[in-house]
This record gives sequence, C-alpha cells and structure tokens, in this order.
Amino acid sequence: MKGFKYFLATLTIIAVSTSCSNETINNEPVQYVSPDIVYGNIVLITQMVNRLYTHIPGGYNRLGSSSMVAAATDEAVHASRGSEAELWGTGSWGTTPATQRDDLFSDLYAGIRATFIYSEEIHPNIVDAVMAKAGRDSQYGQVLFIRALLNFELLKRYGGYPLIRKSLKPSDDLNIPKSSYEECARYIVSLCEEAIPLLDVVYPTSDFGRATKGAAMALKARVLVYAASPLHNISSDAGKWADAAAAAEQVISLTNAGAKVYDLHTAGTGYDAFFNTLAGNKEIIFSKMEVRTNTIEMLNGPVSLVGGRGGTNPSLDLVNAYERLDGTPFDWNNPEHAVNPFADRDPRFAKSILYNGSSWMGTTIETFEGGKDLQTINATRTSFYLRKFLSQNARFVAPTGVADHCFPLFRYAEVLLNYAEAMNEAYGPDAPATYSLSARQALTLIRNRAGLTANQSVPSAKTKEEMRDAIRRERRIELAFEEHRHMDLRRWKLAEEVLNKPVAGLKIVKTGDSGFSYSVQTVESRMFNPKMYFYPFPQEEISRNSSLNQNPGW
Amino acid sequence: MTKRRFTFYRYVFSAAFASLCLSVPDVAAQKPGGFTYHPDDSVKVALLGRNIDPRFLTGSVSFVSGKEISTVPGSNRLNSLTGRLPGLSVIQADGVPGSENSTMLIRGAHSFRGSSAPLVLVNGRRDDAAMLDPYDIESISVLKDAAATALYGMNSTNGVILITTKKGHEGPIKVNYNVQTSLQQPTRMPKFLDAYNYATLYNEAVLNDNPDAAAPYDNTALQAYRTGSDPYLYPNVDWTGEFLKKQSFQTRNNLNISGGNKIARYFFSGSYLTDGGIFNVDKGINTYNTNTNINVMSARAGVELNIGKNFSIMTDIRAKRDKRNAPGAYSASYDESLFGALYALPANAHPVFNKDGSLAGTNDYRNNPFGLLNQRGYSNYLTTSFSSLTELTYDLDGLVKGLKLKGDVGFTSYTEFYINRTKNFAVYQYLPGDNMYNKIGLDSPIAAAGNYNSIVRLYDHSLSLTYERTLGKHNISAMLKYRREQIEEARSLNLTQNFQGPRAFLSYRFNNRYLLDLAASYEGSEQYPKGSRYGLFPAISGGWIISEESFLKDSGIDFLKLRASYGRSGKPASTYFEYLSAYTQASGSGGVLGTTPAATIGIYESKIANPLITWEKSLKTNVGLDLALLRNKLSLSADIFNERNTDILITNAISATYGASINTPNGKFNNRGWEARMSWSDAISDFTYFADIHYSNAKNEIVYMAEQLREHPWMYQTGHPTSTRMGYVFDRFFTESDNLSSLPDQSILGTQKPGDLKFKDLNGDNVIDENDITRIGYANMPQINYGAQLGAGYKGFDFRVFFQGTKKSTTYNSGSNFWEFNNRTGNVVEQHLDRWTPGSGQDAGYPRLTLSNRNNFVTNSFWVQDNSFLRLKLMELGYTFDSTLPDGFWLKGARLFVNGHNLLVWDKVKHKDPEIQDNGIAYPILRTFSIGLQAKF
Repeated sequence: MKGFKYFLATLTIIAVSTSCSNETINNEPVQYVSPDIVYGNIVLITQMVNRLYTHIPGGYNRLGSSSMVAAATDEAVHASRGSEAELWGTGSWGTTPATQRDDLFSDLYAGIRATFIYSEEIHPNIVDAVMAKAGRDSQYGQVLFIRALLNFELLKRYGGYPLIRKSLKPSDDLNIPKSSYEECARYIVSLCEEAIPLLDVVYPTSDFGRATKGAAMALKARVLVYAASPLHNISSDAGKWADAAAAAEQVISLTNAGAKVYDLHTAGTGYDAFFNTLAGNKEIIFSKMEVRTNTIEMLNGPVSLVGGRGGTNPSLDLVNAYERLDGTPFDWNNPEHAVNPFADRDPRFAKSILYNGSSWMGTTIETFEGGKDLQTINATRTSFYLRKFLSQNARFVAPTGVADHCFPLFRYAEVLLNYAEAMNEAYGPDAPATYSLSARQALTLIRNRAGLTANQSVPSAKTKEEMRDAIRRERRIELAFEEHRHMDLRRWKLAEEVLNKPVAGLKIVKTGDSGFSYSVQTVESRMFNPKMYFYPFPQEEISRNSSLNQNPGW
Repeated sequence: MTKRRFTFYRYVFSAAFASLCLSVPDVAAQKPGGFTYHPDDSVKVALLGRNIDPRFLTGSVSFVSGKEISTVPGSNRLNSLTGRLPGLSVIQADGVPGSENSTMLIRGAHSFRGSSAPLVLVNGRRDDAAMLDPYDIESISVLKDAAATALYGMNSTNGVILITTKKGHEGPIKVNYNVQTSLQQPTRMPKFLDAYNYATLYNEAVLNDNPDAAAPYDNTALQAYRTGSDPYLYPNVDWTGEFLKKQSFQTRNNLNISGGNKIARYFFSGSYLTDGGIFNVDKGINTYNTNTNINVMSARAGVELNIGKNFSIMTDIRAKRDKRNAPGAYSASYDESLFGALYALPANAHPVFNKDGSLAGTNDYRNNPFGLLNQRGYSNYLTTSFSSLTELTYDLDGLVKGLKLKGDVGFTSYTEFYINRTKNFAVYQYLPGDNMYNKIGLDSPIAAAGNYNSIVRLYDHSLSLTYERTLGKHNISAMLKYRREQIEEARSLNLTQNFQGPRAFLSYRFNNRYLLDLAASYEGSEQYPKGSRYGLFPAISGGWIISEESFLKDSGIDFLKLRASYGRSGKPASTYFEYLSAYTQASGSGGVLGTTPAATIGIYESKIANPLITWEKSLKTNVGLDLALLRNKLSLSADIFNERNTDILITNAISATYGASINTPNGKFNNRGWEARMSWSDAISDFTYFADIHYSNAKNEIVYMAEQLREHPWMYQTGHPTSTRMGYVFDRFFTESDNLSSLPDQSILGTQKPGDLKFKDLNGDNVIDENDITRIGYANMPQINYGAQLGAGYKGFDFRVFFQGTKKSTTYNSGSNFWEFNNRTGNVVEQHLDRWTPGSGQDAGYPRLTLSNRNNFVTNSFWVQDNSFLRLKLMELGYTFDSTLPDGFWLKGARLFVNGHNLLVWDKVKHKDPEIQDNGIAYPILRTFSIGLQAKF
C-alpha cells in the first residue's frame, strides 16, 4: 500500500491546488457596477439623469445625418440628390429598414426603458442621507418629463402605439397591442401633471437645459393641442381646445418670484439672435442641448463658401408666404412687388432665408444663373439657402468660429401660437375667456416681436375661420424649419392637399448690370397619401409583436 | 537468424478501417492467403476517456492513424485530414507559412450563429494542436454523434477531433529519424494582363462610361506598350512574376526515441521545421531578411512509471516555439494586404525603378512592391506554447476487481507576440514635361513596436473511477468522473471561463453480440444565471453484431453490425456574463447642459441582465451499419444522421418595445445527412492492393431565426441552409436592341447600358428592387465531400494515390482580382478579354467594362461561381528496405519516399484555387513535391 500513499498525497495536492484557485464557477466580474452604487451616491444619481437627456431626439440635419425634416415638406428641398428627406417627401416610404424614414421607434423605446430603470432601480432606493427630498423630486420630475416627451415623439409619429408602463423583462409577454390615441395622450398628460409639481422653475446657469416646470407644462399644452386637432378630435369636441388653451395659459402665466418666467426674446436682433443665445434668453422653454459647433452652418452653407454643402433649400412657396412689411400678402403679379421681391418683407424672411443678394459671412449670395452660389454639385435647387438657426460667427471658413445651436423643442412663441389656436377654436378670435390674452392678442405679440410695424402686427382676420388661417400662416412663418410643419399639416388634415403639390424654386436670370428676371421652376415632386398621416410601424416590429396591427394602409 | 520485420507502414492503411471494426491486410507485408481477424492484434480507437476495440463501437467515429498522414506536407497538421474521413470537411483558406488557415466542419454546420468548428483535443484536452509534429501523432479520431461526444457535454455539438500522441511501449530502445524536404509552388495564380491590354481595355471602359470622352491612352502610348520601346515612360511590368518566386522550400526533421520496460516507458521527440516564403526579396539590400518564413522547434517527452504494484504515473510534456518573419508591418492579415497591393497594381502603373535608379511610383500607386518587400522593414511573430499532462492511476483491484482510481492535471500556456520593425519609403515619379522626378512619400528610419496578440492559458483536472470487467459472457466497462476545465484569455482581461461537472459512462456487452452504451455529462459554466448553469447531456447508443448470431455463421458475411445512437449535445452561448447587468459611467456620455453648453458625465445601464441566456442544445440521432464480406476483403459502412438544434440565440428577435438589444434563445436549426464508405483490399501473391472511397452529405436548414415577414417567399433565408448569399438573379446581358423603358426598371442599381447585367424581376412588378433579391448559390463550405484512395504494394514498394473532392458549394467572384479597374486604379485579368462588346449578344463571359457603374457589382448571381472540385491530393511512392538489411546492422530499417501534394485539380474556377476565399486575395495555396526518409535505428 506504499503506492497508495503516494497516490493519496498527490490527490491531496491536486485538491488543495484546486481549492486555492480563486477562479471558481461563482466568480463574476467585479467591475460591473450595480444599481446600489448609483443610488448611494448623489453624484451618480445626477449623472444617471444626465444620461437620459441623450435619448431626446434632436433637430437640424438629422435625417441620415445630412438633411432636415423640413426638406421633406413644402418648406424646402435638400440640395444633394437622393437624400433621406427627398426620398421621404417624394413618397418613397415603406416599412423595411431601407425604406423607413425618420425611424426612431426602437431608439424611443430604449429611452423609455432607461427612464423606468431610474424610477424602478434608483429613485425608490435613494435615502435622505444621500439626497434630500427636494433634490430627489427634481431629478424624478426630469425623468418623468423625459419619459413623457419620448412617449409624445411616438404618439405624433404613429398615433396610438404600444404603451409601456414599466421596464420590461425578456420573459414578459411582449406582444403588446397599440393603445388608442386618447389613452396614449392621457398617459402623457398624466406624466406631465405628475412632473410639474416636482420640477424646478429655473436652474442655475450650469444646469441650464434641464427640464423645468415650464417645459412639462408646454409639453402638456402641445399634447392637448394635438389631441384637439382635426386629425385626432374626430367629434370636433371644442372642450378639448379649451383644455389645450388652459394648459398653454399656465405656461404664459408662470411666474418666479413674482416675475413672468417666459417672454419673447427681443434682445439683439430678436428673432434671429434667439437661436444662438442661451444666457438670459427667456423664450427658451426646452431645447435639445448641443455643444458649440459650426456643423449646421457648413451642412446648410452656400456653396461659394468652401465646404458649404448646400443643405436645406427653402421653397418658393414658403418664401411667398412671408408678408410684406406692411402686413399685406406678397404677390408676384403685383409689378411693384415683383421687381424687387425680397425687399420690404416681413423681417423674419431675411432672418430665415438667404436669397440672391443676401449678405452672408462676408460674401454676397449669388443664385442667379451663372452666379457663384449656383455652381458645383450641392448648389441650391430653389435659389434660396437656409438662414434660420445659423450664426455668422459660426464660420466654417477661415477665420473659423463656433456658436450655440440648441435646437428649440419648446419655446415661448410656440406656446403663444398653441394658445392662440386653441383660444380661437374654443372661444373665437377676440374672447380672452378667463385669461389675460385673446387669440388675436397672442398673435399680435409674436408679430410685434417679428418687427412688423405696430399697426400691421395686429392680424386683420375677422372671423374665426379667417383667424384660423392667420394663425396657421403665422405658425408656418414663425416656426419654419423647426420640425413643426410636417406634423401641423397632418393634425390639420391638410397634408393631402399641401404635400401633393410639387415644390418650386426660382430661376433667376441676370438682366443688365443689376436687374434680374424671375421665373418659377418645379424642383421636386411631393407625394402624400392618406396612410401617411401616421407612420408605419417597422416591419420587424410587426413580425415580432403578434398583437401589433400595422397602421392602416401600410 | 530471424529477419527483423520492419512494419513501419503497417498501420497506415489498417487504420482507415477502424470504423468498420476491421483490420486490413498489411500492404507492405502481406502474408499470402488473405487475412483473418485477430482480436489481440486489433487497432484500438481512442474515444474520450478510453480506447476501445472498434468492433464494439456504437457511436459514429472515424479514425485515421498518424502514420497515414505523416508524410503529407505542410505545417498545419489538421489540414492533412482534408478529405480523409467521411463526415469531416476541411477547406483551406490560404497557404501562409506556419498557419495555412483552414475551416473545418464535422457534418456541416450546426447553427446559424457563431462557429460550427469542431472541438480539437490533444490527449483529451484542448491544446495548441495545429502545429503538432506528424510523427508525434499516434492517431486521430473524429467523433461525430451524440454518443461519441457525450463526455464533452456543453462543448460537443460541433463534434470532436481527438488527437492521441505517441507513447513508449515495452521493448528495446527504438530511434527514429524522419526527414522530408518539399518544393512548394502556388497551385494557381491570377493571370493579369500586360500594359497594352490594360491600356486598351481602360480606353474601352472610359468610352463605355462616356462616349464623348477622350481616350486616355493614344496610339503612341498603345504602340509603345506593345513594342516595349520605352520601359520607363511606357512600362510593362509583370508584377507577380517579378516579385513572387516560382517555388519555396519546406523541410521537416523529427527524431524520436522510445522504449521501456515493466517499470518505465518513455517517448521523447524533437523536431524542427522550416518553411520558406514565396516573395522575391533582394537579399543584398538589408542586413536582415524581409521574406516571410517560419521555423518551428518542438520537443515532447512522455514517461510512464509504475511505482509499486498498483500505482502508476504518466506525464507528457510538450514545448514549442516558432518564429515567423514577414516583410513590413505584421498584422494577422498582413499577407493578404501585401497580396492585395501586388495584385491591384496594373502592368503599366510605373516601372520598378526609374531611369535614374530611383524607386518608381505615382500618387495613385505608392506601394511599389519592391519597396513593400525590401524597404518597409520586417516583422517577427513569435509564439510559444507549453503544455503538460500528468495522470495518476491507482489500481483498486484489491478492493473491487477491475476498479481503478485516476486523477489528472493538465495545463497549457500559449502566447503570441509580435514585433514590427518597420519604416516607410518614398517613391519617385518621373515628370517628362519638366524632366525631373517628383518625390512622393518620405523615407523613414526603422521604428520598433510590439505587443501580445494573444495569451491563452488552459487548465484542467479530473478525478475518476473506472471499472472494467468481463464476467462470463458479460463485459462491463464504466467510468465516473468529475472534470473541470478553465480557459483564460489573459489579453482580453476577461475572467476565466469554466466548464465543470460530473460525467459518466456505462458500457455493457453481452456475448460480444449485444452492445449498450449509456453516457452523460452534467456540465455547467459561470456564463449562465445561477440556478440554470448546469445542463444534462445524455446519450444512449446500442449495437447488434448480427454476424455473431448463429443464423449468419458460414453465410459468407464476416461481420455485420447495426448500431444506433440518440442523445443531446451542447454548444456554449459565446457571450460574456450576459445574465448580469452593469452600469457604465463615462464622461461625455451624459446630456449637454449649461449656458456654456458642455457634455456632462453620464452613467447608464450599459448591460441589461438577460436571464434567458443559455447554451445551444442539439438532439442528435445516428443510425449506422458496418459490414464485411468476402473474407473481409470488402467492407462497407454507412451512417445516416439527423440533428435538431434549438436555443440558438437570436439578437432582437423580440419586440423593440423591450427597449434594448437582447439575445433570446429561440433559434432553431436542423441538420441531416448521410455518409458511406467502401473499402476493398486483397493480395495476389506478393502484390497487395486496396481501394477506399467515401462520400458524405450534410444539409442544414434554418428552421427559425425570427426573420422579419417578407413580401415574397423567395426572400426568406428561413427554410434554407445557413450562410447562403442573398442577391439579384442574373437574367442576361442588356443588348443594343433593348428598349430600357419597356423592361423592368433597374435604375435604383445604377445606370444600364448594353452589356450590363440585367436581373430577373421575380415578383413581376416591373421594378428591380429588394423584392427581387433571393438566395443565390450555396454556402462557401461544401455540402458534399468525398475521397478515394487507391494503393498497392509489391515487395518493398508501396504506392498510393489519393483524390479528394467537394460538391454543392459556391464562391463569390469579387474584388480587385476579378472586377476590372476596381476602385478605378485596379488591375485587369485574363477573363476581362471576354467582356461584352457591341455584337457579343449573350455570348460574352463578362459584362461591359466600366470604371464607375455600380449596376454590375451589386450582389448578384452572375458572380456566383460553382467551386466544387476534384483534386489529386496526394500521390506517393515508397520503398521500404528492412528484410535486406543484415541483422545487427546500425540501421534497422528505412523507407524512402517521394510524393506530390495538391497535384491536380478539376474544377470550374479558372482564376484562383477553388478553396481560396471569395476575392482570391491570399497567400496562395501550394502544390508540393517532396522527398523523404523514414529511418529506424
């Protein structure tokens, strides 16, 4: 049995060496941070909320990272051909990954999930010693607001959608049918109402950009305006307009230490300075915050500036919609207007659109035949370039510079327009009801800030119907390129009428030394059929969620 | 005086028949009068944890002896299995010295996700197997069904290749020396066109794209290219001819010593391999070598000791180091990028050297191959691997007869380190107008950089009880083992992966006639959630040796066995701790905030716990038959199999409302097929001969992969084999008489002109779009593999010839080796001469030439090429001298041989070796002529 002893000794060595091995089957990666580390640390709690802001969709040239949503509507076309916006606007739109446009479906649900992770894993576990109740409330309010906003982004695209009220487990039944538009809208409004009392009215400058009480109120107002609009308000219930007006009025009358929180930005040159000013800008309610860049200037830059990519080319139809400075409609048939078409227009025109003869970044725009901004591959197709949002300081050509470009998701002018629209529908053009402003007065504030002279800033519309048209035109002008138009046309049920007309531009020919002749040329078709009032759900989603019915027509 | 019999060649052919449970005539030393089966003399087949008499196999196992493949040239030993065994498919991707990369599959694919590559084990453990010395290999078993692989539980679905190395045996000291020198040359090279043809076709392509354009090469240039009147202004360089040698050499040396007695047995071996590169470098320029080459040194020592009556200890230690040299910056794909640069260079791009002796180049062509090979420095690629296995056995016969207690510990350490000693070079372009040279790029001094590519550490140990006993007509063999295996990839910083758990088998045989095997492992890994970490992988198999029944005695049937197996195998999920969640903090990952906007620090749930994560399961059925007739001269073996694989992970198979990317185990995959083998062997006096052919077919089907709902049935991959390509279907060439407006609109694919590819409008909507995309061709790995070996022996001579073939596979002709002027600066090859030109109609072999039109290059069936082939893989002639040597002579025996490898191939691919990857850009696969000596002292 001597051999057996050796053997036992060897086995013992094996056994010992094995048990000493610290790599066992129960080992787990220690660097994986768990929720308890987050909710036990005030800095990490804030950082987790910070992260949620990245889920909010931005604006500008976001389609395919090059074109703007506006370029798929009657507002503009995109300079380079085959862009995402062109495909969308011309009706090349389907349910497959290659043909989906503006597809944020899974991104939005990813964001919604992230908000639930905070409210389920972090928020209930924060103790006073880590973060006092006021701080917790503020963070939680922001989370609720972001969840509401992401839900609204789904609602406006898809109509009713599968409503998620918790973070889902893979083992949950994920065959979730879509809820009705009303139920989704109600849910979003309830999230806003839950968030409003928790949120701060203003933040210190270093926290500028966080969701405020006013942001949640503005979102609620917009949801109610959408819900009251013809596309969704099948029974034409005027009460829905009244609710929307009341919600908008809350933003208008919101005060902080006795002073009104929001006002139209008038400093500097007002309407254009607004888009590049953050500090002291009382018009901003909530923006998609971005670091300072000159990317937007470059993507939309006139091609004579080296690196300019043409980008968004405003349509002639939009140009025509800008009134004359005296408040009268512009008319090409009026020789007086036509001879110098870009002069004496609503000041917002020159602050939104670059036209033949504009001065920009030290050069004069030339979009006549043979002009330097009508040459090379990405030149404008309409003779117009984008001016709105852009800063002359954000130069992409030497000497280079950058500017603030926080895309306005909610701003006071829009609240006033929502209010005016809702008031007019609920009470008519001039009845202030129980509030301080009538529809007409709200509109006048906007036109006043625009720089229309005092008398002309008051809309001349008489009836409710005329006022409705005035508000819609005002909205088109004031909110041009801000990703409102494509949804406004849908909710007004005007998309079939408007978005089936081809987009036109101007052909400008230089005559003599300084004269120009203008003719209209069609540059891009538009196609909209009734199914497009709602986006199609992605085909993958239909394949994988057996309870989800595709939107009608798709 | 008895003459020593030198039986070197003895096992070479006999092994091939192991799966038939038969030994076959010893070709080199056949006794007249045929063959009878001797149980004592039989070959044992290595299975996991035991060796068994192949007659009693119930699972599906193919087997080859080390000797049969020891003279196959090449440095990657696994490639020598190509075509040898039914059910094993090996396709070589390149001929890079020292790696000779290949893809192996046992019975085809087993999943549409991850790798289907088999588990390769050396002596029962994972190890660095590819570069084992051929003379260290005793045998290789290929374990195919669930019964054969059951002890490898969670890692068994893809099948197992089990390599057993040699051991010492009782007897006098034996010394063997083996040497083999091979001359290697590419099997097939692309045929690039000369400068004149290049210029002519380039002109044609430019005019095709724009009829109004001016031809870039005028008549003067064309004439100069044709006559070669000015090789500097109008160069015409055969780049591959200039910079690739016609041949390279490989030499292998192996010395091994073995022997032993009742107390100790030993086997020592040492080997050295050098494999030269094919690049034509200028050795006079540098003090260092820039050609690619490898040298490999390895040593192995195995000792078995009996200590006392019951205790024995076995240890096997192996060490290997190799060093590869390569021109310029080494990276894993370096040879590919070098060949890419060489192949893409047109004959008229520039001369090698300018008139003034400077290195030529242009702005478009900066990679002068002379510079790449000689002036980019060199790289070394160093690998070191060690492994050791120690096994202790205690015979518990005293306690229970037939019972043994065993323990073993093994480890392997493998590292790959690279050192780049690289520099850059300038090229000079002659500007005739100014009569001066324009310098492009900069010459730089050598800079060195290096790091580990890989550090792999393997560790495993086990403890087992085995029992084997024959009681009358009952034979029982059983094992109970606990095994744990650890895999550490240190470079990845990941935690060690573990596989552990008990496993057992029980093998019962009655009257050498009825066979029953039960085997199972219960294996777990830390990669799955607590509570569902362990899986059971059971298998049952049985056999009936009908020829042992009285009613078949004297029937002329020498052996007949029916066997069947059924069991469950597993395949790891290849994920990393997916069942855990984790939060990640990163600066800049939060939203932008502040009136001076800045990205904030964010923290977020970066890993979302997935409690569903699990391994793939495979239910496998195998039914087989083994038959020997005509006094064992003819033997047949056949298997049919069916497997159903489930729990395959699918990414995002569930609703996006979940809000995150997730893998869910709901994929399903089937695989079925059959294999057959037939052998004949006989002797006529001193002349012996044999033939051995086999054929295997494995067809898989994706059953469920959560593919999205499609408009048309042909758009689905589901229901069809995995890895097949999706694309448009080539209909015909557009011709001059086509009226494009009356044909289906193909405009989203580019512009169409006569000579372009017209695709089929599958759904008949007059538009060619994604609805017209369907499966085109087969997968790259063949569905059918076959092989045939014929051999003969006469006195000391032996001869064999081995053919190997594949069917039902396709390659996709693409890239700079096949498409004209790829990226505008690319090359042209022979097949472009057969391009479409006006009047060609449908007879052209290639579409019209273009520099820019993408229509022809969208994925479509025109480029799908049947790459099935039949290859004369090996032909060998040997002479063994043993009986003629005087007794007591210092040389006890020797065999001299010559062989040729990859000699001929019959296929439809004409521009590249049929095995090489789609774009044909790789270190060429080599044809080899060898001469060798196997001497015994």
